[in-house]
Amino acid sequence: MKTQDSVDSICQAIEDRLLEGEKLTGHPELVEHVGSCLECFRTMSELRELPRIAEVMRGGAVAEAQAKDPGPAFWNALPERVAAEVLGSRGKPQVKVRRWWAPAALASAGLAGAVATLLIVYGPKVPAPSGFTQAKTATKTTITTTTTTASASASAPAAAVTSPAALASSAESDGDLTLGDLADLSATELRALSRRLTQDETAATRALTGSANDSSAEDDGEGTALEKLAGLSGSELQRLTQSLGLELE
Amino acid sequence: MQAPPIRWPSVMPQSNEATDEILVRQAQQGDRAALTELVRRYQKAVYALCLRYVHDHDEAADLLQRTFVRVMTKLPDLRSVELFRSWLFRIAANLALNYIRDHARFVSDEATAAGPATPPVKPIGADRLEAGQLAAALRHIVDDLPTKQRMTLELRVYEDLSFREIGEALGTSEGAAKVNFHYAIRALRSRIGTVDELVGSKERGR
Repeated sequence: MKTQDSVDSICQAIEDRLLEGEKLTGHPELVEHVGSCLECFRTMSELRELPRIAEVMRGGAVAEAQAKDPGPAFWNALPERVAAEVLGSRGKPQVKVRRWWAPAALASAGLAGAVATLLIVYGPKVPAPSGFTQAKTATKTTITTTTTTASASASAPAAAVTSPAALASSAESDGDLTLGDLADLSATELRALSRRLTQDETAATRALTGSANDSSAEDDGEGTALEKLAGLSGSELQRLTQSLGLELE
Repeated sequence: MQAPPIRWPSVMPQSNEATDEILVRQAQQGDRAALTELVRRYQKAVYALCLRYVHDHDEAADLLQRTFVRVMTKLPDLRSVELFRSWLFRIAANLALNYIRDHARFVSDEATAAGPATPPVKPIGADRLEAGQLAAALRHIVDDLPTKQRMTLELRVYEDLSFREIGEALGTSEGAAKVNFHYAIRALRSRIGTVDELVGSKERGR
């Protein structure tokens, strides 16, 4: 007695053969099965016409293709056309599609960046009264300041900016004004300060220009000023020397 | 299949010609001669496939070129070179189906403007059909089949792909390809009856 699995496999074998367009005449066991299996009999009936259907379909396709054949010139040219297009595009770098707004956005971002840089570098700065380093530290550490502190720090630089000569004098006298503060002054203020120093305060001028011959200057407060000069960044030095009318090597 | 598959001119390599696999590997390396040979070998079969879908020479020619450009552009990514043929037909069929989909609205509008659509195929058993008419009637019925059944039937009948290749071409299993094929034949039979009966009725009518 045949198990269900073996029956299923026979049914499958019959269907496979019929789908391939084969006949079952050479397989008596399959023919016998078809005689007793309604499902396989139905499958065989459905697929019996397959070879003839395929034949008719092929005949029609060939006739249609021949009727609408583009001609030998087309067939000869197509392979070269395809090769030229494909191999040509393979050698080229892929062009990235750019949106219409991309250049405008890029230009706007660049412009904004340039303006921000100019504002940071050349914009009005508020020198802290207690020194450049302390002012920076204070800026970093005290984000929220009281109104009185803000007004005090605003009034102090205002006085300093309006009177560069006074700044220079105070620098000599008590040493509260550092060279870092000088670097934060605007170009006009620095020029005024330079003029004043050149005309009236030869000692201060010597200190600022770093007179190496004066050995005693290294021992007192001027030595500290020179060290601070050396500690200035490149841009600060450049600005300072430009303002003082000096040539930087 | 007992009936021989269609031998499109230049499709099947002669005994002394390089096989598809060799040509595909060479074309993947940028060999122009191999690439053009592959196009030459399959251009008529692909054209016939496109023509069956779009029924227009110019559109079929355009689809044919687009198919090969796409296939050859992506050829370096094809790992299973033995699947080139089924892959090629799959891309062609997909492009043709996309074309039909994209133009469906236009065609529908045209048909509406032109008047009633082509009358449906009559019960063929009652007709007297020439061989060409029978083929046209079959063609019409095949066009109305569900897409997968239609593609399975055509790839099997026209391109002689195995069910495994059809499964790979259509992204289905071999078993699903067999089922689709069986359903397609069943649908054809239910519409046309038996071919011998039709041809016989014509012959008897003479």
